[in-house]
Amino acid sequence: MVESDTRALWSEKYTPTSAADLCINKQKLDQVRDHIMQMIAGKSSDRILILTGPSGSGKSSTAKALAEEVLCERLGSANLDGNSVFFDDIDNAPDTDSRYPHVIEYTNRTTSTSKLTSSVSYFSEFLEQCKLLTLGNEKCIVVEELPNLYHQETLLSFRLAILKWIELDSKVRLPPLILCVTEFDSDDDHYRGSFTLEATFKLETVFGRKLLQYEDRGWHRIKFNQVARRFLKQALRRVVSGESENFRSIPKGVVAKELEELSQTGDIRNSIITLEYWCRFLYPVTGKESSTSILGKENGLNIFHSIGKIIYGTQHPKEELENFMKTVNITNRYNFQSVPTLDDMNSISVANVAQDLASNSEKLNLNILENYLVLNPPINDDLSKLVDLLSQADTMSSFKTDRRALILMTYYSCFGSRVLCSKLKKTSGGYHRSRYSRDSKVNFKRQKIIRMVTAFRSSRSERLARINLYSHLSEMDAILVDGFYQYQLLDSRKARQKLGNRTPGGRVRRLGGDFKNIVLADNEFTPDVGEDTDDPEYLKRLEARYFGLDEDGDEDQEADDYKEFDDDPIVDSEEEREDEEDPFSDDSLVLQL
Amino acid sequence: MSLWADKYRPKTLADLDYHADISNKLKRLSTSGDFPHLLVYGPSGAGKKTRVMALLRELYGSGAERLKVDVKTFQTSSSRKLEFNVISSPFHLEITPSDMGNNDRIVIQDLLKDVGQTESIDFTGLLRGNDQKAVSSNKKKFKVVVINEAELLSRDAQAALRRTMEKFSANIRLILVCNSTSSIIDPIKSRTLAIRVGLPTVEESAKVFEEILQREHVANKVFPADEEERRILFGRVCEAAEQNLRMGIMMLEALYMNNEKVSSGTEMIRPDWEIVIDELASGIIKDRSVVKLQHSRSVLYELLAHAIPAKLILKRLMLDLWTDLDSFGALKDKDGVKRKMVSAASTFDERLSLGSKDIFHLEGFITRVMVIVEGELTK
Repeated sequence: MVESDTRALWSEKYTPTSAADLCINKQKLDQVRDHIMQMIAGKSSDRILILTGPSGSGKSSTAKALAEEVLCERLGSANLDGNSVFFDDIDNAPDTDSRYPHVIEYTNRTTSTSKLTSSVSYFSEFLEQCKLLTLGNEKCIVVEELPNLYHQETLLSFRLAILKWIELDSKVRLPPLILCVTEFDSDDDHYRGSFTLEATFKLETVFGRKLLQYEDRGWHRIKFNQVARRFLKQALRRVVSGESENFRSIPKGVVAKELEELSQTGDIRNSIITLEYWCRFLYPVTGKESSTSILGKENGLNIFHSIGKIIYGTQHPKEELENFMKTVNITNRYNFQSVPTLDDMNSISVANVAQDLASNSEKLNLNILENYLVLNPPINDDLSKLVDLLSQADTMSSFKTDRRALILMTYYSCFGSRVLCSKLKKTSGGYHRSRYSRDSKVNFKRQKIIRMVTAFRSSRSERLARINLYSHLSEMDAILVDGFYQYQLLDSRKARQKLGNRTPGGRVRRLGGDFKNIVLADNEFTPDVGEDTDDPEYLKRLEARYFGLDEDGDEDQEADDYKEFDDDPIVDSEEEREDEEDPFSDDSLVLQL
Repeated sequence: MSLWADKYRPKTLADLDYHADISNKLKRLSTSGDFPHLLVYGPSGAGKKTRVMALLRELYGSGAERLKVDVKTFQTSSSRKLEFNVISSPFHLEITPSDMGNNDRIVIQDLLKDVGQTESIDFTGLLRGNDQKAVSSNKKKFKVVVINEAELLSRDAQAALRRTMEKFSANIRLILVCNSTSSIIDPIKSRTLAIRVGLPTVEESAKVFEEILQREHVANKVFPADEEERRILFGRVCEAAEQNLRMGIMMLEALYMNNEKVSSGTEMIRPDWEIVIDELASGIIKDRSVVKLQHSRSVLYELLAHAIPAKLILKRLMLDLWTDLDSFGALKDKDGVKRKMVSAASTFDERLSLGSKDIFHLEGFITRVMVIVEGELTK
């Protein structure tokens, strides 16, 4: 049926329907299959299987093909009739692909006409309906399209729906749910450096802290990598043989060369799309292989890859050279007297990195800083030079706006680092896994602490102004002096005795927490959610008692006042605005001054 | 009950314990009809703000203490809402530029314009009632605007201030309070009367401590009765607080709250961040290794996360290293090493000003120090 539709894109047309056709590592397939089987058999405590990976790594195809296979085996292909009971309900909403009769897919409804099915809650409604798909009516649910998670409410509703699904009474059997999450970084300057959903679309940012705690207690994650060259080539060959009609006029050698080129991208969907375009439109005109420099996805360099290249040096000198020449051909920027050779490897790989990551050089340098010590270098001049170089590069950050200056600057720091790293590397010892720079995590924490300091200062001002003891406390003093001593006093033995045994949460720590709570660099990616510090309400009450704010009988009222302020700061500011709009208040303000 | 440092803050110029010359100067200023813009500067914990508040009291009587905290909202050009606190009495108001972020110029201009364009009406008689300190009315034509942490004013805002100072000089007097005048632009310096408030000497601090304890009867009993022992103890407190009086008083109170009995030998309660940096410094001299570097980075990041300024970290590290070196036996050419370290510290100090990510420069300094020491030992 599908075959007859010649207008389908090849990438759609050749989507594998059976596990045998999947171009994925066998072990990974077995892993996925095992998990689906366990979920169907109810042997696993996991209710959701999550496949994560870059785009075009075959997550969705794997999910659907394997789910279909496992369910067919289990039910026997004759048992299709049982579906009709609830089929109507489900069928008018989600898509059922005729190729996968046992799979229900989630699709966003682009237009919602009634308020009852708003797009915010659409996903949770979908899951509600799906709960019925068990026992005689077994289906597997595959969610490859997520609702619009950039919309805060939708995101929260999505998380809640997942949480409900996981937390549902374990006696209730649920159909297996497979979630495909395509992970990617957005290159938006505005969000760079923060670990929010806007900056990095990853399972961690999609799920948030709470859901992440359920790993392997409600959901299981299988990570997909880019498709290996061997598998990708195999898949492309399958397409070529399927489209022999179209490829007849193209010499075999040229096709082989083209396949070789395309199999490097690691993105199977994109490769097939490019192949189709090349075969049908480009080759008839040009008669040449496309060369990925013009067509196809840029060989995406991720930042870790680049750090590896700088710290350890490149492992694929040939490719590096090709890549370099490609850039040169595209930009035509350099005029070479002679073509560079493999001897210039350091400069070539650094040039490639600089070209790719110039706009990100600060992040790159921070990551080099986080990782250069894996070389286990001796403490000598070269080491000091290396860090010195990174420090110098940072002082050039004022050129951020000029792209060419940025490339130069990146080249400068990277090349220097590369040369020094190659000097520092004593042995050809093992490769360590790179770590993410913790800079953004630290920044996040810092911002949080600064907010605490601001709150500390304003509550202090209010307290002291009331008893005519106010004097300004600078932010620095609040951090360096009062932030330590005030809590030190609150935590002292005598204060404890005086205020009675009222320390449920243990000791009171300095403003912003002790210095022991060190932020570490991660191998893995973790979302930015600060650890919970002391309960601020409790601290407030403690402060109020220590400073005797509630001594004159209206203890409750005091507490209420605080609470009110805390619960609803927005209300406060609105009142403030109303005041300002009041024509008389202006006068009164002047008088007070 | 309040912290001692707040509770025993002198309220009038006459109550101030030290810097009698400054107090006299301020007193004379307040009684004269004319009153210039002031630039009060000096290290933190010296008593700048205390003197400013006392001056205001001298000028306006106790009415200047009737403070209230207002939250002001301000709409920036990018229509973002900005909220900040304004502390004001009927006679003066206090603003802090760091609360306003990048918009300090617009906010300050706006605020001063508001104040400057309205001549103050003399309600002092009404407000003050029978206050004997009534000052003749011609002096109260102006309101005082205190700008705290003036060193944090952007260049922009300072330039704007300069004009405002002249334009509204009939109605506004500015008192700028800052730690250092190095980032105050010359035109402002030239339009203000600069008053430096230096740190109290050890004896002066001890006198303040003594006075506080005389009024805290319970606490007084915890501290040694012997005068000589007291003197030693106060000296130690003062030294540990680096003559910062505010910190010294805090430390004194912390000592009282944490000990049943305080003697001249009781361990001082120094701020945690100082201890962290001290340990870092002694660590990098003793253990010059990759592991230590890795660990130092974590510590540095932790300090930065607590908003401890990188320059302060560098400065303290350098000073600690200096003293640590003296007790580092294996090293022969100590002076040479010190010279190299100071040179490195100044290099990286400048880089901190130029760059944007502090960690590069701090780690750069630590690596350099390790290499210097290592190089000297293997010579």
